[in-house]
Amino acid sequence: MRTAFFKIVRLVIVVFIVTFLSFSMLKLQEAATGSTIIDKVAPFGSPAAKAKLRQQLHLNDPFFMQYGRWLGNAASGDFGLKYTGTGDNASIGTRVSKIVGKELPVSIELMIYAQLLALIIALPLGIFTAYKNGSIFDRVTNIVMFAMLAMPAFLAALALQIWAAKNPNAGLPTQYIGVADFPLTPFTRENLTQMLLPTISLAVAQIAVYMRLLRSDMIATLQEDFITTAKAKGIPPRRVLLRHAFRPSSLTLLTVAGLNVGALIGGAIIVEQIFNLPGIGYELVRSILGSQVIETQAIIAIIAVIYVLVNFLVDILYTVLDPRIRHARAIA
Amino acid sequence: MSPRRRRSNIGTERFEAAPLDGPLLEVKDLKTAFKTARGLARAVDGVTFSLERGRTIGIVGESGSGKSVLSRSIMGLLPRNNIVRSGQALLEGHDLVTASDEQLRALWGAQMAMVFQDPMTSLNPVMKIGNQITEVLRQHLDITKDYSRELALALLQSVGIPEAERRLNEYPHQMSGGMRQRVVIAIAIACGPKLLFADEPTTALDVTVQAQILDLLQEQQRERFMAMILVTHDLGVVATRADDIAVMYAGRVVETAPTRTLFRAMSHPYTEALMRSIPKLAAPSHTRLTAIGGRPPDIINPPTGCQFSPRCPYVQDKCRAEEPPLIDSAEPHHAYRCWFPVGTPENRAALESNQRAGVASAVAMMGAN
Amino acid sequence: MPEQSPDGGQDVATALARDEAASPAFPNPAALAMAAVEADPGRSKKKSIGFGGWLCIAWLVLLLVVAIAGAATGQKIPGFPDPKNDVGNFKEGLFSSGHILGTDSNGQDVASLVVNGASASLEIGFFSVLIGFAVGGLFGILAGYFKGRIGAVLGSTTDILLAFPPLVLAISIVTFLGNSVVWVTVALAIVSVPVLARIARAATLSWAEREFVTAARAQGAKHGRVMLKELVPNVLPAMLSIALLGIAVVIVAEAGLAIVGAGVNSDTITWGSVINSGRQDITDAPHIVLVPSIIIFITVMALNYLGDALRAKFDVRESAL
Ligand SMILES: Nc1ncnc2c1ncn2[C@@H]1O[C@H](COP(=O)(O)OP(=O)(O)O)[C@@H](O)[C@H]1O
Ligand code: SF4
Ligand SMILES: [Mg+2]
Repeated sequence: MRTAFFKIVRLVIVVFIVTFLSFSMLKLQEAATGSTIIDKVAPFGSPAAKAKLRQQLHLNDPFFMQYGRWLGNAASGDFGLKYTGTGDNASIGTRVSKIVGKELPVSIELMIYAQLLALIIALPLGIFTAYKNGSIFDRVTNIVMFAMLAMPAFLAALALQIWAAKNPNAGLPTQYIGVADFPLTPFTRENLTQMLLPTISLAVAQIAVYMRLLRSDMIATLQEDFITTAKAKGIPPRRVLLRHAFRPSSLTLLTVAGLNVGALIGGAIIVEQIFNLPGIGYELVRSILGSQVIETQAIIAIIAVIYVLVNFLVDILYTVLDPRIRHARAIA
Repeated sequence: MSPRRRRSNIGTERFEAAPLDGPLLEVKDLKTAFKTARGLARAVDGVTFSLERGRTIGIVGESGSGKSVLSRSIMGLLPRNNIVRSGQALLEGHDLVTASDEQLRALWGAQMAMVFQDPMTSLNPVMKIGNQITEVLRQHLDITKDYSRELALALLQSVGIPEAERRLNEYPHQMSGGMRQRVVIAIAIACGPKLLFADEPTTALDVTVQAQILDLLQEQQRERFMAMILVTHDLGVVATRADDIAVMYAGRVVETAPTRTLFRAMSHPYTEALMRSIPKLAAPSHTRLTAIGGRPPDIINPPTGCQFSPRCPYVQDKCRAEEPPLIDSAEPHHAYRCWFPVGTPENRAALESNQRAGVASAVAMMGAN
Repeated sequence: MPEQSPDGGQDVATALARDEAASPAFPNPAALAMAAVEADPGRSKKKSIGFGGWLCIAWLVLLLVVAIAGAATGQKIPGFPDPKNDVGNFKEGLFSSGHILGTDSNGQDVASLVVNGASASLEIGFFSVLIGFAVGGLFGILAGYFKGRIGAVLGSTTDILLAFPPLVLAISIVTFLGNSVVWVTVALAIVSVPVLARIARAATLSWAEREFVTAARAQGAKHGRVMLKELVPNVLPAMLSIALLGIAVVIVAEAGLAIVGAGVNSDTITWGSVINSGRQDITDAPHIVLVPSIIIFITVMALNYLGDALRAKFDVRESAL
């Protein structure tokens, strides 16, 4: 229990630091480039409008107070505004929380789809090639996976886009087609049609990562004594593989899947950009290009915190899956 | 694929009806070699013995002599690729060497089972003890989940695990080595096999529990009328527990005899060396075998003639030139592979000539006698 | 309470080893021969990189030559049309006359763009990993060597850097600080620091306990000396194999940055910038994005292959990473 407590304390500290860094980046930019936040958000505002905006953003407060207020607001779900006016109407805009609330689900859906697809393909392949280690099938799969590993999400996305353009009969859009309430309910036909190509693009490299990892771990596990024990009990190969070898081998996979969320987020940003998918990555890019620094700051902080949380959850899951760790912690 | 098999696999019903007379296991000229980069490693090289129902044979030899490979080869547990196998291993007349995986699977756990050397690694670390036992029960017996749990509980109790009920829900790492080995034994005897392999079942254990585990094995064997192949590197372990003993060296049986005969009239110099290495103290021990100088031969490029000749204190030119065959002694069921068997005048003469010539191993014997 | 069990197996093993060493009464030629085989270094380990490996090296050398030429001439490699000013027909396809890889929507020669783009792309890849290597290596070795407070502080620092998804961190740095080649390089270097630091730390941890290191320390060698003489040479191979992969990752990241509009400014041609500018023509002139993408793909594959080979050679275990 004590370790669990420390883990939570650590999580809180990391969240503080991560948000603090996201927040200070804006200040750093001010210092580095000399152009203020106001200049970016409301370049054409009158002095009065600028002053009002300055007031609204509490930019006259001391730095740490600004951070405190920003964090407090963020905790209650208020990330400020995406400013739509650039002149005298500088201080009006849309709630960032509202935008994020609409677009984050798209990205999460995309990433979950991609992880699912990657695992659905990688797990059986990894298990089977480990079992048939050295066979022709194993060797061919390894070569294919090696190539897939080198295929960045953007290349897969562009290639699929070109393919979809050349094969309109497939009925898969090369770009996201605006529909009223996106994201659509998961796993509906329309939703899958829109998400299929982005999902595949994002999954390609992950398939290779997971499959290779699982294969090498499974090969190691299959050498273990307890596998011989299972075999000597007369357990059929399928059960030996799935029930005895897979679970201990899946631990590294889990860690990597957690760490991989970082790569996945990066990939999602690019894939959303290429397919014009209105996810949070797409919004991040738009905010950057539109100099919406307040919004950019918020999105970066949100993504970083999500990432930290996911890794925390993976850590917890790890202890659930491995009783040795679970008990070591319970005792400690 | 096909739904999980619920039909009982117990018995050799996958083979034709089993003859009930004759020995339970007959191993005939069994050879097992690994294909390695350096060449064929002949880990088991022509082993022959037979085992009656309910009896125990002790297989003794220092580490690397091929005991584990022999037991796994008989049971058919070795991987099929990179292995060359010949000879026969007849379980109730059915050859295990030529049996298919499917046939073997029906026998594994049901007709023959194995207790492995290291209980730290031979149990699945992420599976509850209870499930590891019920798994084998449900695989071979057509029983319900609840009943299999009852049986598992009874098994744990019968192998002397206290608070068995609670242990069912524990993981291996929550138990000591001795307790784990009891669990391994429970799994092995769960379906009432006729043949139990115990591959150095106490080597990895704390000295204080070694005797307990061996006693448990013996007790269970008697109760269930199992035949047992007890593999060990310690002649002391089998002295009181085996009916017969086969001494292995470099993949071969170099001497075999009923236990009493062996201890009274051992003939092979290697057996003699093993015997010498049993501690005089009553305490059980586990590391004395290396008191024999030198190492087992390279099984890929074995020496010509007698395999033991590089280390033998009685070695003569004949030994290096010609490999001794298995020679029957005057005692019943006693055979050995040696040109100059211990206790004969030829043997004494050989030792003296070696001592005179200053052969190190022979000189080392001077103080001993 | 789970009972604590003494590790009997280990006892046996060490006891066996001890006894064996203590009784050389029967010298055994066969055993000696075995020992000699075992002592022969790399007899089984030495894996040649094979034909594929040489192919990878050839490809990378070719790229390197092109990149150096591009850097030396200010992205105007002689023999290729000036990628910016020699304008031909728009969107010529592959193998059109004068433009073997076609032209883009501005009429610029794609082959020339890709060849000249190699210099900036590889420059960014190489220098950011070099910086990441130096800083991350230093961090990692220090963190692994001084396990106390310094180690904890450095460890936490890397953890926090790792808390940002790499691309997001790179995008933030580039957007907030500027999009020159230098800043993009710095951004990608910062991203690769924590990864390399982790590797260096893991490798250091496994080496720092070895006898020769503790011996050096026991003899009163200075920390700096121990690290430099004993640790660096051993930690380096592991890091090097990862660095190769790192270059691959950075080259891809550069393209990614370009695609999301946070790439190097338009004065400099990079593979990423070519891909990004070709995206608008993807339906009628897909070769514009495909050519540089495939070049990146092949390069990444070559770097991965050599990285794998290096790791196999130095027996770097992935699980330790
Ligand atoms: N998979 C294998 N490949 C090659 N040689 C092996 C393999 N397994 C065992 N051996 C060799 O077979 C010989 C006998 O091993 P083993 O049966 O484990 O000895 P023991 O159990 O008597 O200690 C040893 O020399 C060992 O090196
Ligand atoms: S045959 Fe010769 S070398 Fe072999 S054991 Fe007998 S005496 Fe020793
Ligand atoms: Mg053994």
